Amino acid sequence: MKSRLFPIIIGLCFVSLIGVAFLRTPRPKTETPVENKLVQETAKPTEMSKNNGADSLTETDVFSQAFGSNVDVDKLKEELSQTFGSDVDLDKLKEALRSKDPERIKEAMGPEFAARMDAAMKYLEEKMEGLEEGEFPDINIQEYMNIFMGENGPKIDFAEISQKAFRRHFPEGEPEDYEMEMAERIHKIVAATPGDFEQVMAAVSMNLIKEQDFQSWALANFKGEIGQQVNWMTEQVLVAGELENIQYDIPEDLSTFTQMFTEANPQDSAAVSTSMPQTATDTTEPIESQPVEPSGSAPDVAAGSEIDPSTPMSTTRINSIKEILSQHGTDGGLLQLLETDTEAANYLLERFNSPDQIETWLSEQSTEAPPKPNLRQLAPQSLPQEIQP
Amino acid sequence: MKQNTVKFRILLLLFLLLPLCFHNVVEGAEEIESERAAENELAGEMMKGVEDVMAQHEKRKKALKELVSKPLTETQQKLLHQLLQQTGTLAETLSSVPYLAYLKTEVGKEYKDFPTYIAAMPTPKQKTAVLFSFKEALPPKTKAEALSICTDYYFKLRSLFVKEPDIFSEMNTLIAFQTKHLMEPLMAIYPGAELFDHMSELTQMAMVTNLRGQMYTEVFHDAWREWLGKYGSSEGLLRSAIATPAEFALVRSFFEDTAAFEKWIQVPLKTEKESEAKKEQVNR
Repeated sequence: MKSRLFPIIIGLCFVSLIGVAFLRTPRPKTETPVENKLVQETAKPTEMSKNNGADSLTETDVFSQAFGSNVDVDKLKEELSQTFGSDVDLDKLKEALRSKDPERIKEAMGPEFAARMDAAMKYLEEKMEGLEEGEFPDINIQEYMNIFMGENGPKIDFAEISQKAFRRHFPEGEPEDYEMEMAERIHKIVAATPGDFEQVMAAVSMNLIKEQDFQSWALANFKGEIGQQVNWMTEQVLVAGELENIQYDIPEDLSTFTQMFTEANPQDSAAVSTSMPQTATDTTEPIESQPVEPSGSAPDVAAGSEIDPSTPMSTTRINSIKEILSQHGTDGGLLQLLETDTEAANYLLERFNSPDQIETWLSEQSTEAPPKPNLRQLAPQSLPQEIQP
Repeated sequence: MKQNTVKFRILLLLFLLLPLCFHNVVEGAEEIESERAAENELAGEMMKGVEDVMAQHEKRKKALKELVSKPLTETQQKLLHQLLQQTGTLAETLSSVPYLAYLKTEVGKEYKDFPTYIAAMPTPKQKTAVLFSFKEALPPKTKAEALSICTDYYFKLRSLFVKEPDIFSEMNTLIAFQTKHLMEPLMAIYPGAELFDHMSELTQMAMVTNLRGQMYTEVFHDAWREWLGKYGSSEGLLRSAIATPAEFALVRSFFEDTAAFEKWIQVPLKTEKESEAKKEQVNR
């Protein structure tokens, strides 16, 4: 069960680190403004902040973001307790994360953990202190872990871990042998993702989260030097942009970048960006059609439905469905649709929980679309009507 | 405020880094087993699915038992009284006007006689009722085609269960049957590459359909057997046909004639035998 959380968190950890890194990423001096108006229009960090900023974090479930929408809170609590001691108060932690109050977070995690957090925070703050605008903190995962685990804590050899992870995916060769291949992956994502630098970088990071071999390679290649890794990735995005005839403008304020990751479901942007392969020249497309949707629609993603519950259906189609249902009766019509028109059957099943509900909808005698899909009620089940004695 | 936000971001980062640490603490800092993690994730998801299905099943079984054990209403008592005055076979009695009128109010459709109703089994209404009950019980992303396959399988299983009462203890036979009538059709609608992603769903489908099929057969059989024992064969069958018309006709449709159906009702199912044996042991 502990491993259950790992892939999710390591991915978030990875992008989060990169996100923080970008807060200090140097702005390329050779950069020229992007000429495309639409791209420029989209690069409005302040606007994004309104939609995707930390404020919205308070309105959403912090744990769902961190551990997935189907997080089992009881099990998570048990896992956290096993790992960090019984001091962890999950309810408190949840509230504390929402409040953004560091002291409350530490309190929720318990005194032992709070001390570790203080030490780790001190390390991060020291690393970030005195940095010029555009500089990235020189954070090393091994150093960070040593501090975080404490003197008496278990020793973690990051180099060994990353080497093993690398070898599992790359039985031969050294990390540097695969640099071109990894760079090529970034180039492909950049080429297929329209949008401004933030959006492209988000798509790159989100796509690479899923690629375990890339993560293993990055850990081994950069040896836990997050700054180096971030700089390399930035460089690859810019190079790929040049190859695609796009010059990205890196906004000075990248503060929304971390928030984009912490609030977007990795599968969301990744899935969209791969499902809509477009060339970079497609940036003339309206922003609405762009693959990266940083705001993320958590409830939809959480539903995990293969069937897009918001699939619109034309009035003609709806009328045709109604006609079949009227001709054959609700039950017979639905069964027929299941055999002949599964799209229509799915459409009905997404929206109604019983034949009676369909009948009510039919009896309304309107051409209006049925109600919005209800994502499976969790209420106690009733027995099928006809089977009820 | 700004300082607080920065601190928060650092803390968030810290929080997200924790699992990296604790994973290694727990696993002895040996390895990052992505594949194993994925397997564990799947196993965890499947286990949760199993737990959910079982919890739901128990609730549903309890509710069904309560419903079946309800005494006849005044209207039903009156109908029973009328039917008891009739002469002829069970099919003839149930083809009488009072019963067909009652049937119409109960199932929403008029049938010319009881054998016609049996021949219509399972009716579209029964199928959609089962379909929606599976929709309710299975994960939200379950496709309509999958629900349809589950529904078909459910009725096939119900039929098999009355013919081979030991099916649920003969795992090989059940697995073969399930593979042919449930898994193979399901695999046809899920692309091979997606199968792994749907393992949890498929497990739940198999569980829900089997449990549901077994439960409905057993609960109704138990009730009918009790009524036949308590009121005698004729009245017991009539009570069953009045109290549970749709189920009565469905199960009756699995048999060649009323005699075979009646005989099946009177013989305890394996689970009922086991339950009775346990009761006897406790009493001793």
